[in-house]
Amino acid sequence: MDKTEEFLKNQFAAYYQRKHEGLTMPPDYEKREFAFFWFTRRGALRHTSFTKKEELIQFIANEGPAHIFYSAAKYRKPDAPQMPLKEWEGANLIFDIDADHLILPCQKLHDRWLCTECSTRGKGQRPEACPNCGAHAFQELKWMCKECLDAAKSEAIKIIEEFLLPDFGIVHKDIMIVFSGHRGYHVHCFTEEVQPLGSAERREIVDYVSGVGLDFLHHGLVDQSYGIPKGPDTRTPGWEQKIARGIKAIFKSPSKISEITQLKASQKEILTRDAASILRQLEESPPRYVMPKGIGKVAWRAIAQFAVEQMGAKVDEPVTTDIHRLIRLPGSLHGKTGFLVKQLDMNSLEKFDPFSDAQVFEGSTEVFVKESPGFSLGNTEYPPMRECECELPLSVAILLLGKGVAIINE
Amino acid sequence: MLEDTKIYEAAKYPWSISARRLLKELDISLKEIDADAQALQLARSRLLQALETKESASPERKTSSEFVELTSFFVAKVMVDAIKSMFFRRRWATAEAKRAERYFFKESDLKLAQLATRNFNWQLDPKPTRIAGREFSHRLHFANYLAATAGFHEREWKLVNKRMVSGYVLLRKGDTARVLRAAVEQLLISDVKQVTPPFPPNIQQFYEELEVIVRGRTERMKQEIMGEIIPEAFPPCIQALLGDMAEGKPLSHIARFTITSFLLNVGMDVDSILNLFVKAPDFREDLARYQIEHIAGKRGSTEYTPPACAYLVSTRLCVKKDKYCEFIRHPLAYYRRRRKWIKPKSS
Repeated sequence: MDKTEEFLKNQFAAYYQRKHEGLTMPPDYEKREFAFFWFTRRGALRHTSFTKKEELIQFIANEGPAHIFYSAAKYRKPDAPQMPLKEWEGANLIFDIDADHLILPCQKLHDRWLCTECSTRGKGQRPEACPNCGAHAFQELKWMCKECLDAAKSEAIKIIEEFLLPDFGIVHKDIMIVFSGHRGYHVHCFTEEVQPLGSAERREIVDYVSGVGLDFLHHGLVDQSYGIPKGPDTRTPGWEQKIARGIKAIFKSPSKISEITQLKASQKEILTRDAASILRQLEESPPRYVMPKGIGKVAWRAIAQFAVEQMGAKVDEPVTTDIHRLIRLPGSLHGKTGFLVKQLDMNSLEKFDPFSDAQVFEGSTEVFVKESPGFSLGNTEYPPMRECECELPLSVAILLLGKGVAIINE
Repeated sequence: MLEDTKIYEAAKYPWSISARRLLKELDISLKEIDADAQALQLARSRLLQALETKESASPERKTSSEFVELTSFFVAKVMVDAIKSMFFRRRWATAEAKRAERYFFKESDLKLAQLATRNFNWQLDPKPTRIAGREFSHRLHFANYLAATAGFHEREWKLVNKRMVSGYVLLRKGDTARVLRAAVEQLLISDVKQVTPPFPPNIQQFYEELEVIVRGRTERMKQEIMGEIIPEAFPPCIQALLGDMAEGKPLSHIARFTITSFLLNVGMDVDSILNLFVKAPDFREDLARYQIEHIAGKRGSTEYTPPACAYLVSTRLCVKKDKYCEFIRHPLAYYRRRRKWIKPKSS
């Protein structure tokens, strides 16, 4: 057995032996499938179920799994070996917000790719095809930093505060927020009414929160060639209000205007120049959408479209639409980082810092670091490391081992 | 008198819980209906018109009573259950649901809400609201709304284009009727009873006649899709995917599934499809063949059809929509229609 894998397994098992109060069993957990991935062997253990929390604790304290998942779905027979035999009874509505799906400047600093064909290297998100040889196969190293996790956090807050609470009317007690242990957050809704929804219905919910397929004509933007132009109003609930606020936000910080790619350079200039007066008119009640000369219908639509993109939440669509989805168990550890998959509420979410609040390992250990980017963990900055044998805090060592950039020497 | 109102209501909404209860109370057997020429006649016109036009024949008031209307629905449903053709069942369900919708328009806001609550367990409230200059008559819980409208393809029905407040979608009266119609349609499609012939003599004869007609009609549908493949009649999304494949661009899993299942359904064979994938950057013949054969149903029991337009829209595979797209909700329906138009011109 590989020493690194064995070390990780033992550390995880030991953690589950001494600490498991944080393990949150989902409602009706006896009806859910549990699945486990391992450090020391390939493949997963699927189709298991537990009738008591203690059974699960004992199991993971013995086995030290790398990842623990449960099904968002409830089944009559959660341990049946094939999906059709399980007899689906409904599923929570879940959203996955992953920094992977956000395009952020920090990715250029900490994410790397390597073309497996010609060994060309690069930083940031991997290209569609290798710029050198055109191949499509890459090895990737994805890291996370405060910046990308904060971006994911604001998306999670956006989903809840802009959509789930006001528009979908989902109440606080039915919402659970979980730090994924890696690069994002999960939002779970246990509301009774959403349980029976199928995949197509859930896709409509994703489209709603991300603004996909939105038609301005249904949200107050009226194309008028005469009279007083009308537009979205912040006093009207739902998407109209969000579009109206999004448009105002653009003119509040006019540097955003340059990001609207569909606008011509001359239009950007006009809008930046007139931003203050446009904003003043938008803040009247009802708002006045008076277009400066040179800004026509097409340009206004581009601005409104940009507002929709800004206001919409970026979620990983397949996670929400998959009605059999497995999702991480709150209170478990993430095998790639050793971070705690932590359950949060709206208050704790705001202040939550994964780099200190999701750390569970104490002590230190010696590892061989192959190559790692610079990062900070628990108030300490770690510089980029390369080919060094070093004594590191256990939580740092486990992060590097889990990420595959360090090993325990034989 | 009370009985009359009950029968009147049941004739209007023969799929409703109260209509079904009434039928049970009246305890009518197929044998009794077999002797009722009027009921059989009305059942026949309801079914045949549904099959051809997706509309339900309106009863001839002079000759048929509400009672005949009710029993004609009952015997028509027995026929649909017995014939076991999904195509026929859908057409009939659409027709009957449209018929119900015509009555919905005439009901009070309160009555509509009661119908929805009693029959579909919906959270539908009559709630006059005025927002941004528009009048809404009802509000419906978004989960009920989504379950009913999942098959709608016009943009205006997308949840993102609806006004939603605190979990409720605001609807105008016409919208409420339309959404309820969808629920009726779904109910009629899913409520399948095991029925097997023989039937009493007149119904039996009717059944045999119908079966021939339905079989002929489904055969014709198949002919419209299969046969000579006409690529010019492919919908724009499929054309775009074929273009990407020709350029060797990598396709997502769902894109590959869409193109493969589409081509299989229009009658292309596995080898021809395999040839299209050769340029893919990660092409492996054994894997590709396995996947195509799987979709063709050669490896499992399921034969797949491509995803519907709604799915292609949200997975961003719906591109370059053209004027024909407005009228269809499935890429195969596009092909079937366009093929009919293009074929006579080319031959």
